[in-house]
Amino acid sequence: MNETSASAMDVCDVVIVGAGPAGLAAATRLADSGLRAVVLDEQARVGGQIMRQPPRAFRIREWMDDAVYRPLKSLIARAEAESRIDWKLGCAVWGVFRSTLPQGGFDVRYVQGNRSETLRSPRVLIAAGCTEMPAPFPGWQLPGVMGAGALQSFYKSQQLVVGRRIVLAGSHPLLLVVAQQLARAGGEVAGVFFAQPWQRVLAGLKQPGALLSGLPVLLQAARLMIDLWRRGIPLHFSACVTAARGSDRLEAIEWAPVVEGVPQQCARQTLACDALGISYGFLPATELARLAGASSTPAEGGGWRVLGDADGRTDVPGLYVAGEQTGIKGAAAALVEGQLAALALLADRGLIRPDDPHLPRTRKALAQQRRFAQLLTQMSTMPDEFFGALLTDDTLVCRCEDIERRQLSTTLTENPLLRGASATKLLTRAGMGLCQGRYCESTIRRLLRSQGSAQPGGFRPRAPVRPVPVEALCRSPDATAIRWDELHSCNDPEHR
Amino acid sequence: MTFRVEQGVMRGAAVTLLVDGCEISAYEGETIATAMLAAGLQGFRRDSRGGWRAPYCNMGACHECLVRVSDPAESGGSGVSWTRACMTPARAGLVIQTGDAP
Repeated sequence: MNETSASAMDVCDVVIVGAGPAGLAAATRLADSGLRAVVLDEQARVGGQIMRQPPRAFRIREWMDDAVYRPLKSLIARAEAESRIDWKLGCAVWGVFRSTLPQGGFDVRYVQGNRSETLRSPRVLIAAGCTEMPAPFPGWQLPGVMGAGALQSFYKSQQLVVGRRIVLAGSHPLLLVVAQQLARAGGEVAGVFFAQPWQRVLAGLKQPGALLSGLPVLLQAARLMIDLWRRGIPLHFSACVTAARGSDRLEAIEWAPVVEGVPQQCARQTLACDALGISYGFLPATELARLAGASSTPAEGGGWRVLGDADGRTDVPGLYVAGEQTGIKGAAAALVEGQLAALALLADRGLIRPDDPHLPRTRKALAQQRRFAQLLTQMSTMPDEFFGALLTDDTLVCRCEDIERRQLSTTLTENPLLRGASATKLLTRAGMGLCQGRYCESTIRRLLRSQGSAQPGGFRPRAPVRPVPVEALCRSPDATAIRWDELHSCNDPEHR
Repeated sequence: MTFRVEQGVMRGAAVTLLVDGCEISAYEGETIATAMLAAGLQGFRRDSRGGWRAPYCNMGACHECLVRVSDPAESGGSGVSWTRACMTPARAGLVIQTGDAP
């Protein structure tokens, strides 16, 4: 080892990025076999977005007391009590790089406080979850408009109900959960809008095997709908929010019926509200895995999913993925994938036999979860034309750089050979801001598709995947070991 | 109005923050974003056209809630940094400035 790595880097068995259901399930399974993992998460407490825990200074009597959260709550309790896990919370991983050393492995670089640090490990499991799918419409940048998941996490982790009159809109069943939670907490929910017809739910159940795997969620959805109806909360199907209005904050929404996937602007109505939560689905957050060289493919609904084998191995030796990284499936499936990736890693290390009976058993459990996830995706995915119709000329596509659709359309018309989001970024600045394209890439790719590009490329994943102060890099104990070429290494031809 | 759930919830010690020169109250463990929203403040950063932005993702990804934060009690005291309000815990005496983000 050279001097820098010996003195300034922590060397460990396994690094896990993400302390949500997948990361926690993997870490506890590895601990069971005596393997010590270092788990990093940007949040101060473990649980991921689904189980955003309140700060330790809070005492809450009935936190997340619904039965559906029970398996995840017990996973958190087990993980937090496990002495064979090293936690690095409040740490933002900004890059995972393949080491240039002959023995291979990875350098995991992260920021803690105002300092960048590095972990060196032969094996890395990335379980970095997902972000909410952006669905731009006029006024979506107004204060008061946010992801439905954001409204929910303010409630879950901070016990804050945002808004006096709340509207929820989109196509994902999460809307029902959020509506009920906020209403129970004393919020006034003025309406819930599902863009798809209610019949879509039943159509999904006609798939072979769907009834069995879909029944529990269908029952839960029915239970939630009855609860909302009892509370007098209007529930609309085939209707969507087409605009947010207000001078410097949200004051009202416009909504319209949706006929055959297209909002009917001529029949729009206005509803006063000061909070709007949007949920059309989720995009895998795979920039770290792709930066490390893992192959990926477009995910349903947008974003990129990592191509792993059945057990979570990527095509980069030593790099594993679990949870939403391989496609959006929800927390229950993520938990099983975390266990499976841990088993794969243990088998590769020779700590369990390749024919260990837990492997086929866990694969079987996962297959069932996946069927259910497919069902959910079928029920909630809206077509390109729907999102295209929401996007008016003056709608912001890139919220960071304030780029409207008009400007992007002009650029695409003037450059008919444009085939990817990265090239579009260079011409328009869309995607150059601090969110690093997370909230505009899928829209730009949709615009490219509508101009005839069948499979447009995305933004090249770039380190740092979170903005890092230069001061933090300079204070890094191994600052001289950060190679500038690793800041733009990427082996994925899709993103050139 | 945005409100804190009180029933069945015990928060940490009350602290005071200074936002654009005005005092707002927060509780230990809350984020700056929560304290500002609970105080009815919905302007975090301003975009290039002067419009206000506020938290969109509440998980550190969108950067719409960037504010300038300094802690006069910190040794040296001059450190002012752009910070995501949704990822930063409120502490007594923090000085927060909203407006033009980078």
